[in-house]
Amino acid sequence: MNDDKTQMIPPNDPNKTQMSAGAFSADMNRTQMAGSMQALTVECVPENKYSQSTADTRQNVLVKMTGTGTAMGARMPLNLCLILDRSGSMEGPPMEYMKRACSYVVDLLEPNDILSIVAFTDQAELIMPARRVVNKQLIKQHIDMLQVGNTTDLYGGIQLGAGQVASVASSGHVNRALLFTDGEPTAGIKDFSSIVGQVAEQKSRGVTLTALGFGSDYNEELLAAIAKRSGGNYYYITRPELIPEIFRKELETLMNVVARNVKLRVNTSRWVQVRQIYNKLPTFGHRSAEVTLADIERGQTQTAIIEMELGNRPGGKYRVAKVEVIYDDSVTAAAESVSGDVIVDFNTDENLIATGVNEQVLREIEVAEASRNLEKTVMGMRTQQVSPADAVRELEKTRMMLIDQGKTLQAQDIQNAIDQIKQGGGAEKTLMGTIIDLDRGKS
Amino acid sequence: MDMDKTAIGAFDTGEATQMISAPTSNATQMAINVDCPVCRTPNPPSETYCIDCGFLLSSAPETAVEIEQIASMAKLVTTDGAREFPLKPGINTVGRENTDVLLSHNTVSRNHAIITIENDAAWVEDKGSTNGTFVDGSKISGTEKVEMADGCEVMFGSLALKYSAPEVVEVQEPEYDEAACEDTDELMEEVECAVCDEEIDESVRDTPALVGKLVSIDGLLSFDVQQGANSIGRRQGENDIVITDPYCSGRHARLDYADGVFTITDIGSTNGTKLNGAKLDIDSPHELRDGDEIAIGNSVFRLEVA
Repeated sequence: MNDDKTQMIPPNDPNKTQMSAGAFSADMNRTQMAGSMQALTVECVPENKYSQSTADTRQNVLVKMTGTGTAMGARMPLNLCLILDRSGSMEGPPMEYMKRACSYVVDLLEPNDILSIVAFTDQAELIMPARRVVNKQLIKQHIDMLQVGNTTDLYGGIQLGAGQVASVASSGHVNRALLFTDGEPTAGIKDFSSIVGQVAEQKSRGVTLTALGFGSDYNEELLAAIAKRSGGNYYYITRPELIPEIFRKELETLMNVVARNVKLRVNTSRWVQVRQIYNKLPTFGHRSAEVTLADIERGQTQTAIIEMELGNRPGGKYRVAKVEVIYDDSVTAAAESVSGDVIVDFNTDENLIATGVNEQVLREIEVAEASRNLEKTVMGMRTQQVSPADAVRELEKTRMMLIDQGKTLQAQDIQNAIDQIKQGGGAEKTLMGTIIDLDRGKS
Repeated sequence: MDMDKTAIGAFDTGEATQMISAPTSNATQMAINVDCPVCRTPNPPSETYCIDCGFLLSSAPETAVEIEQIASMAKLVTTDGAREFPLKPGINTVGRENTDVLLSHNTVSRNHAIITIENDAAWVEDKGSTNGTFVDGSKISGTEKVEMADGCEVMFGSLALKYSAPEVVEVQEPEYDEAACEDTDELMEEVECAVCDEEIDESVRDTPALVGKLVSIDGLLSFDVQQGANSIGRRQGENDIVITDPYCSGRHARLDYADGVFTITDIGSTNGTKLNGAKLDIDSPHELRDGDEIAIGNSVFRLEVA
């Protein structure tokens, strides 16, 4: 126990973060050229490179952000909290597998990673405060002592766990809490909006939550909302023996994060308005719209589709918007940004305009709309307005489309959902994950 | 960055100084800026695209393209003024998905309401939304169609917007054509004469409370500024200072003089007001000094204090 004290982490130096923020603004000009040095690349593709100059028109713009990252192996240390449900329903194999999964996480961590552990039942309790992962044996002993309790104070768990991460959060770490639960909140603050509000507050302190739902009784809508609001991941774990595997998967994801606190800002030129950013809720400013995006992993691409209204104007080539992606680089810990221009050529030649359509953008829009269709199917099944047979038919259509678009992982998810429905089960928990993936334009 | 370099060069050699001072006489400080051929915004030479309208500065605009006046459209405006939703004549659907007025807000239903613009009137009806539609706080029931007055508050779910009525469409065709002409020199004089011929009160011109003048950058136009409020806009008869620039809104800005201080306020123009190149926020007054440059739409004026 004594040597534990030496591992205390000093609170984050506020000056340090300010410095990196300053470096960001000075670096603004550099970003467009230094593609290879950046953890992210951004590409902006308008639906049509031409537009009618004499009329007001609408156009979609596809923004693709890809995590490039540096050499493998160089990863940013984690500042991780495991927030564990030890309510009565975890009795038996779930509890045993959860403990095994946690021990596994400890094994995968390195001495400069930080770990804290919180468990919740009637209320939340701190099993281990944030400290470096040095004495792995001792940490595992803490985990082994966990026992099942009664009710589920999810809110308290999030508050205490995210608080641990925030207490030592720094730009030099991937700050993340993994929330593992198997049921509805039954103790403490229970309502949906308070819990999601708490998650939003933690996000503003730099803490992202990943939601891991286990079994058939958790509230998938709540867990999906937590992951969405936070920009973290969402997992549906069907069987106890899969718990360690999913924990490993999430840890691997975290170790590959190259860009955190990702924000997409669209700065529109005169005569241009952002109408919507598909599947996102932007905040609008004067000639700007901004959305928060999920962390981006190495090799992973996220997309956003922006619908714009373009006013009529004298013909010619215009930059209708400048798209800026602002993020924290996970290797250098510095705040960075990359930007791309959306260029549209305005003219009056309808024949020329007809040749400018970009098929790739149209396909991505179709994928984005698939997510809305899935949401309707889930809602329909829940309210029993859509019969299982109709749901399967709808899902089959979406699945074929996703295969066409090369979204094989999501197509596989939908296949699983179809199988679940055919076996008389509910597919909402599976589809919720697909919806989150599609909303993020993950591929 | 570039500006610093030229400055250093100027100090070092006499030749460099000559080269820099060679161009236009009246724009010593602006010499390095490039005016956008479309929106006239001065751009630093490092910019490829206009910082305001985005036009590719190295190219020339196709001529004879008329700018349609959007200032006079009916619209819904967010309470912070950051977003505008234009309303076209006829039916406008309002909702969260595939609607004319697209409101990404979780208290707005997919198909929430319909706004109809007919002649000068606007009507709103609820389409069975979950959280209701309200006009000035009272909920619209069933199939009721409620007329919206200019400036009224329309709430879809918990999202409040302000309705802004279209500016009354007068017979503006001639004014339009004139403004669309490119050659401004003669035109401007003509327009000014036309203004005099109409109902501009001669007594106003001779008011003793004259405190300054608003003079166009090319020196062709000059407007008197009086004690108190001076409204600036495109529409005749409603403004103290009438500017016939299609980029100028019907009611564009207000120039005030009180207690020895000049202030300019953008009163919600479509294309904005700039003070010495910096765009003004709507409804926030800015103090003016003698010689300040004020851009109203595409027209630039200088304040000359009497």
